[in-house]
Amino acid sequence: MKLSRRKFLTLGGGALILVLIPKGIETSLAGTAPETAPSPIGDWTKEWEKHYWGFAVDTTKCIGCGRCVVACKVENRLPPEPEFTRTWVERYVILEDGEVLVDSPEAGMHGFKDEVANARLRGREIRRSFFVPKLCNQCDDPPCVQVCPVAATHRTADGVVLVDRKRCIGCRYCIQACPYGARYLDPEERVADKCTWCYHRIAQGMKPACVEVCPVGARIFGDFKDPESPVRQVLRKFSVGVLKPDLGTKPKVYYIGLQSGVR
Amino acid sequence: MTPHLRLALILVVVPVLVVIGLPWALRGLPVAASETYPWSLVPRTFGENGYYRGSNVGEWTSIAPRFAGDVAVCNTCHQGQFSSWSGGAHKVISCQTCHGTRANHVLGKPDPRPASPELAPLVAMPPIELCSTCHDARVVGRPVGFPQVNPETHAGKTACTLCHSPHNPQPGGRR
Repeated sequence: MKLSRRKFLTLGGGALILVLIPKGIETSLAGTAPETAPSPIGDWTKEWEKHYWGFAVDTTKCIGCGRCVVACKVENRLPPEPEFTRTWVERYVILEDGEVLVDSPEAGMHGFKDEVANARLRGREIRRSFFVPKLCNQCDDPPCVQVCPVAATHRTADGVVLVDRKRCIGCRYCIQACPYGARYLDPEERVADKCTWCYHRIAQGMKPACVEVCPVGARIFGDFKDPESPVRQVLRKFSVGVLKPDLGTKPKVYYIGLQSGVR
Repeated sequence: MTPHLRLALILVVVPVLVVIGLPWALRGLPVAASETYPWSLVPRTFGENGYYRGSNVGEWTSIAPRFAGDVAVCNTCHQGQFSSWSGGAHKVISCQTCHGTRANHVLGKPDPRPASPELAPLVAMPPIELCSTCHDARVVGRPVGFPQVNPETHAGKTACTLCHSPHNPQPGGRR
């Protein structure tokens, strides 16, 4: 076999391009890294087996002030628009005639000051009304992880579902699959985004931002592997419910005083 | 050099260059580029902890918190406000609920400015608006027994802070 210089260069160049193409794709797919700091914790994967996080929401205490929604946006550098939110507050108004009005103006981030509900009431009598904060349930059997075609969303050993923003291709399957509507598409990076229970905070022993700022203690966070943790105490003291238990997703946000009909 | 030798040289040198030389040449590039092997899209850390890119966990845990973790540290400097707050009904509320992010402040650095006025802390609002966030009786849906007033009939346009200290809201509470 005789290899001319021209042929050698053509073949060699071709081989080089074939090798570099996947690199180029990978580089162009990579999102911009979030604002980071030298982490005070080392390799979290060496620690995480010691924890199993849980969340509780007390619907009998929530006052619908919406500070949790604002705090989440600030802590997690989310877009200011209310439709791109990792948590939101819903208001349920059950009328004496049996009709249920549900609203969440601007995800509740500015509270419920408006009179929209009053207009929809049309003077009818209210039987009961309450607020239900919503966030990712960090399901033990998460449909969003099952459907991801590129393994960009995954469950950590301490029970939190995360999105790999560098691998996500923005196909939105997970947004469709989540029965709780917890996910949205980041408008800037075009990747799926959702609540992480402030994974960067809980790994450092802090509470999630929404729990930190809740003025009435309606959001409760803790570690199931710690017998003294607030979530363990909630499950000990109260009868609790989860959203859509029939779907078998095994959600880990436990609601105190959950009214039947709240989904 | 005989053609056989030349061919053998190419067959050995080229693969060696590609397998060892390319990764070596790419080692200085940003994380995203060097995280995969040059011949594949599969990240090096894929499968370390499960069916995903293992290094993603570290990316999430290395985000810098903006809200401080423990408000007990506030007492180091703001002792007056702290003791007033810890003796009143508002002691269940974190300092940061009204005063906003303070993680950097504790470290002696400036806290990031809110990305939009809507995300400003409560203390940026006029008192009536600030207190109404939680205590406006006209809002439908609040739990029975939660202290609420109609700001219009309660004190008109008078600033709430004239009678109530936000740190200790009972009338006459220590400021």
